[in-house]
Amino acid sequence: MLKKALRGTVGSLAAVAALLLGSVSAPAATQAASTPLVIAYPGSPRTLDTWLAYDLTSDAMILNVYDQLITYAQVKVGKQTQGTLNAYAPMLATHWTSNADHTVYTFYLRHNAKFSNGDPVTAADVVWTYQKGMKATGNLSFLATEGAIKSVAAVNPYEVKITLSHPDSMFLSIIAMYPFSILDAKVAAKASGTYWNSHELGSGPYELQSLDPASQAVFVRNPHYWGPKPHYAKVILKFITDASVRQQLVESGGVQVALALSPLALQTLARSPLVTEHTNLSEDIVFFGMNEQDPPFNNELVRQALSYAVPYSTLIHQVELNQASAMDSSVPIGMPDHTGAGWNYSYNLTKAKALLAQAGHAKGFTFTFTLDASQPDWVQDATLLQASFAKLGVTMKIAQVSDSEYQTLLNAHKMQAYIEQWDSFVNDPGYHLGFLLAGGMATNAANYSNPTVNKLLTQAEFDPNTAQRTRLYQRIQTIINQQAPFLDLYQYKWTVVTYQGVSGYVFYPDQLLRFWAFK
Amino acid sequence: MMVPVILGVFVVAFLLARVIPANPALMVVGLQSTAAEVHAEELALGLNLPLWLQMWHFLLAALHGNFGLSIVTGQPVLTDLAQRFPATVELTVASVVIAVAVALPLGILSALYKDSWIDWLAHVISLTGVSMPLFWLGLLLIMVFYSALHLVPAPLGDLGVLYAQPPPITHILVLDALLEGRWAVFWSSLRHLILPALALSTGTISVLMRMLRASMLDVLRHDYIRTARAKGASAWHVYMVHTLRNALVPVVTIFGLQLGYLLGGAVLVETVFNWPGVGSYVTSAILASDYAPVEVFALLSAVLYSVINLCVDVVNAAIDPRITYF
Repeated sequence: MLKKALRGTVGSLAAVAALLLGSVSAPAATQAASTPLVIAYPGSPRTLDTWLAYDLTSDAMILNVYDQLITYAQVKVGKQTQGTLNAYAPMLATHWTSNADHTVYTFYLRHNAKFSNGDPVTAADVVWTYQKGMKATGNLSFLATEGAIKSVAAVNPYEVKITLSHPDSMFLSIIAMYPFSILDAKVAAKASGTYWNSHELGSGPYELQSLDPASQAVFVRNPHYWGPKPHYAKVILKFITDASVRQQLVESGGVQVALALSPLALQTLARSPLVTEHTNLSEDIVFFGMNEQDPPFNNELVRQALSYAVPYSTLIHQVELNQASAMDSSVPIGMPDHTGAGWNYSYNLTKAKALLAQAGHAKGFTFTFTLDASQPDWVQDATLLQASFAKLGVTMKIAQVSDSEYQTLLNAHKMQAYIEQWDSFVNDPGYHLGFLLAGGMATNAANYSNPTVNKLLTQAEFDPNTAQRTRLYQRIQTIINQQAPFLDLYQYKWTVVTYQGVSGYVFYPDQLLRFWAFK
Repeated sequence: MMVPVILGVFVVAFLLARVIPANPALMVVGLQSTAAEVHAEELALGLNLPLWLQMWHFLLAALHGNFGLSIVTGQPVLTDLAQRFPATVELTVASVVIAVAVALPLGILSALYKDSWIDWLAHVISLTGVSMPLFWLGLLLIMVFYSALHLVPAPLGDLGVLYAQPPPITHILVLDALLEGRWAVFWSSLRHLILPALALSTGTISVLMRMLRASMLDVLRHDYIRTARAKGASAWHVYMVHTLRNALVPVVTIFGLQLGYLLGGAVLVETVFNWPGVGSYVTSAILASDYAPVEVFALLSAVLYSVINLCVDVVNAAIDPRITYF
């Protein structure tokens, strides 16, 4: 009797579980306009402080809540509408003018812009944001220096004058970026400490309703927004670290948009009739850095030899599953003034061996390679490179470290060799090359230093002539391509996956989603 | 013993967090900052001080109820943890309920039907439960029950995106929805709870089941069981009163240890299921090199673990009057 009772209990439990599970309907297949747009992001926002944010999630959360003076324009590329980082459209400023030598700009603000708390946006807010930001630690002050911003003043409540220390081709591109989001001076002046790490108050299309950095952020329409009402009244960002979960969610409509999926996941999703993959070439490059203060990497011939030992095609087709493109310069394809001049590298072990012999390393050498283990594709890249280098007699010892440990080592320039990814904050070759390869820069972890390159970079920065600047940047690339400070592995493609019924996605080279564009 | 254990755990957690060569200051100011900016942030965070002094400052502040601020949220860590703790409690309690509901009958049945098909089935379940890593099991459950069979809702937290949270009474979502009579919310939250709770409970099911089986078999061999049978006691009385009660003593001890395991497991399960609890909060803190939440979590876990063990000792004494501590 007891045994029957126990069996009955197990049976009942199974029945209850089946009932509970069975009562659940399949994932929603359609999206009404009243339903929220759910987007799966790969990580949590590190901070919502507009001056400190620098990750994919934080930056997008800022961009959809705040306005800047101007924004990036959209252009037609074939049938597709894309954002461009080289042309600008009005945002808080309806129009702007500059003097003849482009050192003084005047921005005319719209009169109907309000923050989500109802406060009007005026020149005082712009001046406060710029002046405070330029004095504070963070991206605004850093970028203001890059953009040669000297002073900011209010001409009247709806006119702002910005004076530059010298003409700077990057200025407009820089002030359209999210660190130049205009804050409500009345509120921001009172907030202190880390308040803005988890709060937002802007005049953009959405306002942040709630945030749990570990799981989700909820946005609702800003009732005071001056522009067209976004289609989705509510947007929910879900922070889902596991790429396979993001894949399953978008495949079944659990979320309507998913980002940063693995090449394998994208290959699988490509077969699904329910989702659309929007793929564009990003300016996100992956390279193999070699510390030039660490022999034998101080020898140009050694670097060139290794450049001929990279199985470029295998990395792109077998590791990245075609979600990347070949590079022919350290400046990404798509960035202004890019050129492949001086690039002669292909997989050629005979040539690699000859160069190594010429460098005095005919029998090879041993070096330590530090690997950021949080990037699964880099782990595969490293293994393939290790095998290829071994054919030259070069032993590559792989030391795996965590992401945060890797970032610290990178910042200290202490690694002998490493794989790094770089997506320039500003879409400008001077900025890009300056940070990666100018001598003495904190971000030049390869410690590459070439006085000619340094001189040309400075010359190009201050040259007001666009054609001459292009010539200078292309000359720099030719030198760099020959000297091979990096093994330029590949340039990532950027894919956003949308579930059926969701449209309106617009690609911007900064890879940040504009939620208001979705329909 | 509790105080040295708690202090020991805290010291180890504190040192482990800081010996990893990651720099929270760099995480705060960004990779493109200058060395001077990074250094200024290091000074602001007190990272330039010797380790023992940093630890001393932390403990001193903690004694005054100040457990520090999270770099990521900018809020006091205790406030953050308090906001998320109910979700973790909900998940842990649900997994305990599942574990007990499955492990108890299966453990008893496998002891009573030793070497039968049900015993082998229980053996397989148990082996599977202990050998599968939690995060992997979670992904597998999502793949089968959500993606393939469409039996559970999307693993997007504790509630469907169309529902608003009910006004907090107990702060446990399922309970609050029930108490408020918001049936749709109750049903949605219950369905969201099933899969993560099931994933979290598997290890506990395995351990409890095997322990109960072994303990029951051991007790069944005792003379007093034979005596009880000889006296004509019913099977129910023999198994449930004489056998089960005595077999439960080691099971309760193991159960206490498993509660600590559940808290650790929640860190993984919450991350996989986007569950808005303490586990996912601590995971994001670890990834951001946000020291304070990790250290406070380790400290609180040690306290909780010690308290649970104390409770286990008390319960053991209640079950078995022969057990005394004084």
